[in-house]
Amino acid sequence: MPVANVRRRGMGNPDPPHDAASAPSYAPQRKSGDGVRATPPHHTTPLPSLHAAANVRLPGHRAAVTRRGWYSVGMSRWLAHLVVVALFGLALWGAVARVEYEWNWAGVWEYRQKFLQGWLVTVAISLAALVGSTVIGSLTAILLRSGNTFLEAVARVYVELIRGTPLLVQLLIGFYVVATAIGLENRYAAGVALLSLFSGAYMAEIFRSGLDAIPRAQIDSCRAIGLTPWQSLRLVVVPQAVRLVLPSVAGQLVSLVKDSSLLSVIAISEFTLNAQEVNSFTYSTLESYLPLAVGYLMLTLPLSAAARWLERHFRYETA
Amino acid sequence: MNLVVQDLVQQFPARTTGRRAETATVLDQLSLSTGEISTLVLVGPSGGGKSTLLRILAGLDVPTSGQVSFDGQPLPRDEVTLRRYRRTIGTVFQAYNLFPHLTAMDNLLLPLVQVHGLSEAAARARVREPLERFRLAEHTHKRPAELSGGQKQRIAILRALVVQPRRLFLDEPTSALDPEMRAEVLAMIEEVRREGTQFVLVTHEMAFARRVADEIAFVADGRVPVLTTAADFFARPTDPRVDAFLQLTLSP
Repeated sequence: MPVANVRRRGMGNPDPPHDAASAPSYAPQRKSGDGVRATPPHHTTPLPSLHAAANVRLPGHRAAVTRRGWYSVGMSRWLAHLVVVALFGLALWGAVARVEYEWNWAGVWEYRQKFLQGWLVTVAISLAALVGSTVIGSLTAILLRSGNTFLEAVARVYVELIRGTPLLVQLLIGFYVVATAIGLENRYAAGVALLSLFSGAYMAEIFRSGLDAIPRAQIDSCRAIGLTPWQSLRLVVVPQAVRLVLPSVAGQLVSLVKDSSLLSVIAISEFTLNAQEVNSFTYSTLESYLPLAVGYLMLTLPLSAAARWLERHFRYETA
Repeated sequence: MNLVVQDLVQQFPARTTGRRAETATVLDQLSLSTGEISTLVLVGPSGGGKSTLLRILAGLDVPTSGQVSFDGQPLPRDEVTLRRYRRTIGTVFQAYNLFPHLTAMDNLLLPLVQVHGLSEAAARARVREPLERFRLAEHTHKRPAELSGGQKQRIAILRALVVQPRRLFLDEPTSALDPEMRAEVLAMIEEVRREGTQFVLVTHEMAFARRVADEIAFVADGRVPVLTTAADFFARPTDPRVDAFLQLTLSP
């Protein structure tokens, strides 16, 4: 990645840190009137563009540890998040106050069991579809790059059909026509299959872009040492591609969790359908849908966090 | 080794204009025959076909037509047999040889364990001594991005070497390096050569070519117009193209 190289190559002198954003110099600044001419920390005239770039955290930049007593970078990040969340909450509260909404949490509390059941169904369906779409996506990505004209056409048509049509239509046709025709009567199995097929198409394109991003020279190196194509894929290409596609995959998985809410149209008793039902029983719209939002966040936030952890785990600079 | 190449042609699809697919001919009926030598150096102007020829010799590409044989053994054309051939030799490219997601040690172990079936312990034992000798032992835990260009290339050469290949193919191993790193890589190649490993290498380092080459093949316009001993190549250029090439590369 060329950006990473800018940092390593562009600066002849790694010390003092040039990462102005994360490592401010606490040393007293020498004024030019002190008698000694203030010299720039670099042997050569520093390029102004590099200094401008140093204010942006480039990939591969390691934030310097700045610890002053109780204060730390991690702590300040937590505080910032807390403040922003509080501000959003305040804004929402203000909006609700303006429309003079009358809360009725007691009515909804009666149905807490129903929320929990729906949430658990959504968790189960999401996990199953997560595995299903990863498998389908990987296989399709391999087909897309198989070199076989027919297999590539099959994969391409599948991807474009799925990505070009609404999930709603796919679910209705897939369940009431296709699943019925092939005798698949378990709507939960059908729902997981349809959701996996839907998300798998997006995953396939993400994986394909990852495979394409591996330089040709890496394949040459694999062949030169005598690896088989399958070994090259397993030992060299996939481990490198995983790191590249992780952020996109995480985004796709978060979407998948939320897209599972559409399964309510084929009467799968998941989280959203249960919230809708509670709403129709109690006429307490906000009290039904706010827990719904929180319930989805409880699934998507850990996914994002896991993805960020994995990204750090797989991080290495490309040579 | 005794290398014989007959009427080697290599064409690549260039571009499609209208309905006609055009081809670029990189090697044009190239023939050569060496004596019984241990180091062959390929030199010549850029775009002349050196790297294309080396890739065919190393079993990475299959020529459009023509024959190549080492010591009377013709090179196979099918991928499975070619892969078996590639396992008996070593190839080092100009740059980006190493796998960036693996440490230097894992880069060395990968072919030994995955291709040559050594146990991890046996593989580690095999690389220990050469790592010490080439002063790379302290860097084995680093990923390629943490190594200097010269260290990367020396690890790459070592990776090709520890599988005990019949011969090494090097494609401009120092072209991507700074001068001082170039020196350390060239010194390593010379040492390995003295120990009896056979080489076929492409290089722009004329002084180095002169030191190590038994024979020098001048590759230009997809052919080898001149193949001679190193001494003769520099002392008595017989071809005007060699003359022009040497004028360019030897002048400061």
